[in-house]
Amino acid sequence: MNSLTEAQKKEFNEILDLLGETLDITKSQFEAAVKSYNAVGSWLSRPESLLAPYKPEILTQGSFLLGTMIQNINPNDDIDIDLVCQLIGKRADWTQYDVKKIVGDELKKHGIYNKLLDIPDGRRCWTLEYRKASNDEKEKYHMDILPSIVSHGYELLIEKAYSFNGFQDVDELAIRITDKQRDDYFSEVMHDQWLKSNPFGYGKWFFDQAKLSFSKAILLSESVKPVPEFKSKKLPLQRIVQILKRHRDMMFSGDDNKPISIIITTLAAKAYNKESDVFTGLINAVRNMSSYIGERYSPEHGRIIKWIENPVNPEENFADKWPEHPEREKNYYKWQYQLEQDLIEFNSRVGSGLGELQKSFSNSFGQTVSEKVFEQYGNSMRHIRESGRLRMERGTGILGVSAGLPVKNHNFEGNHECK
Amino acid sequence: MNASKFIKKPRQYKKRGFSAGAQLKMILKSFPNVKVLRYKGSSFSIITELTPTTLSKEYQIKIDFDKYDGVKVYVIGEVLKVAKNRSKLPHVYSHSEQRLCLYSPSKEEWNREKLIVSTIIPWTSDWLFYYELWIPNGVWFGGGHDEYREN
Repeated sequence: MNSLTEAQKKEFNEILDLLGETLDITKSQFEAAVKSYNAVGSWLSRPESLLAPYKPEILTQGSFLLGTMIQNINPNDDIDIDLVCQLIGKRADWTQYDVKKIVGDELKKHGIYNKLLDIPDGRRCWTLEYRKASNDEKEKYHMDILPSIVSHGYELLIEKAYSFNGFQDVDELAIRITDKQRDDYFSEVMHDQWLKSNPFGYGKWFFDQAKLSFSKAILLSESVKPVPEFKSKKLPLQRIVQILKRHRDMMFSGDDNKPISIIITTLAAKAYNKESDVFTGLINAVRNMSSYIGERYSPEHGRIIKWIENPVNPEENFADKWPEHPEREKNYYKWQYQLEQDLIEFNSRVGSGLGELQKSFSNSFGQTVSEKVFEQYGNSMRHIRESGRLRMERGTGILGVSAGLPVKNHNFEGNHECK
Repeated sequence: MNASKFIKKPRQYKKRGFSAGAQLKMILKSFPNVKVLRYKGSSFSIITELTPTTLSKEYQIKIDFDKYDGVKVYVIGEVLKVAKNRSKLPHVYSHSEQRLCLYSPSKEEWNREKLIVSTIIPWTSDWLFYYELWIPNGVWFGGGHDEYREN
């Protein structure tokens, strides 16, 4: 790859940041989702609810928590929102089956949720399909609700973990969930024996990888609040993950064997080196991601298998399906190769014009998205000019806001000959 | 009353605008690599390279200035691509000559009292920027009059 100048990297960064912004969910989608899941939380905690004594709360996990949600390629497809239904303790005799069933039963008591609820329940979640009730563009989503149990004092723990840099023991943030495929699903009443999951520990880890300075940590603590705030500005790592996920979607569309988001997010976050711009961060992440795929001997398979470690639970392998589905492993490496090729392609477009770059973007991220990105780019340059902030570098003619000759506003109008 | 109000300012000079020499001198100050094709009395013709952004192509631009005839700007050295859905270049006086249309004469955005180097040249760069963005779909984001409005 040709090495780019600092100014070229800066320009690329601006375009990639716009790409991330275009891929992101909109403020109204975000707010509609928050409103919906908060309503579910209120319903489950109403006084008549069997769950009320355990103060049920709905919290986001996964990409909604991480701020790495992206729009679907097909605007008619649903957006997935992963949620945790968190109970503080439970009745002593409730098994996993009971907890799962009671959450479901409470949802069924609500006229609308009853219609939205996917029957039967999933392995660990209940799913509410919001689009069933609405033709509203903003309500094309479904929510996976994961019933879980935490201990008393958990809320404080979370607050501490997300507010301070010093918090080390992410394992303390683990929650207990129900799992239909376990032998003790109908019998085990001790919830500390249930399956452990650590979505908030993962979130803490991800934000630690993503944050650029101490001051940003406070901002991130807002993400776990019951009513998180929509952020149009994101950290470079969040943008990098969004761009990578979109590239994956373009390449595999509906293929079930595509690289899964948790693998992409984890490897990108491990490879990310706190670069302050999206472009350099993306290049380095793509270059180094694969080196975080380890290998371990698996007694179950009798051979060495690929291992993508969950950073908050070393015993969990995010690539655990690869041995049974070798095409997933193959697809991951195919995707990795294509990413490298596409970055080389973008690089080679430097000097052939923004139109050519847009065409390359269309191939990698989709035409509609790329058109929006470059339209925004053009519009923002026009706003800069119209507000009198535009400058031109001497000797080259390069436009920007930093140094150079101030550029007066003008209109591409001409006289009658030009019309 | 302020006496200075009655003192004649050197407006006469300004009205006549900058001479060709003064314009050229100011251009060369910011663009030392400009090639001067012709400079004679009240007119000149120059060639310069312009790149609108760090990721853009480099273009060759010819600027003809005549104190009485005004300023004309051309992209030279290549035939500019036209968007698939369009039949001619956007915002040009002449498609075949690739002569650019950069400002509104009726709004007096440019006249002889204004320096080419801080108006016409950056506006050319600006034109090139929107031209590059125009190529994929034939949409002009730079403002000005709408060439594609359907009547």
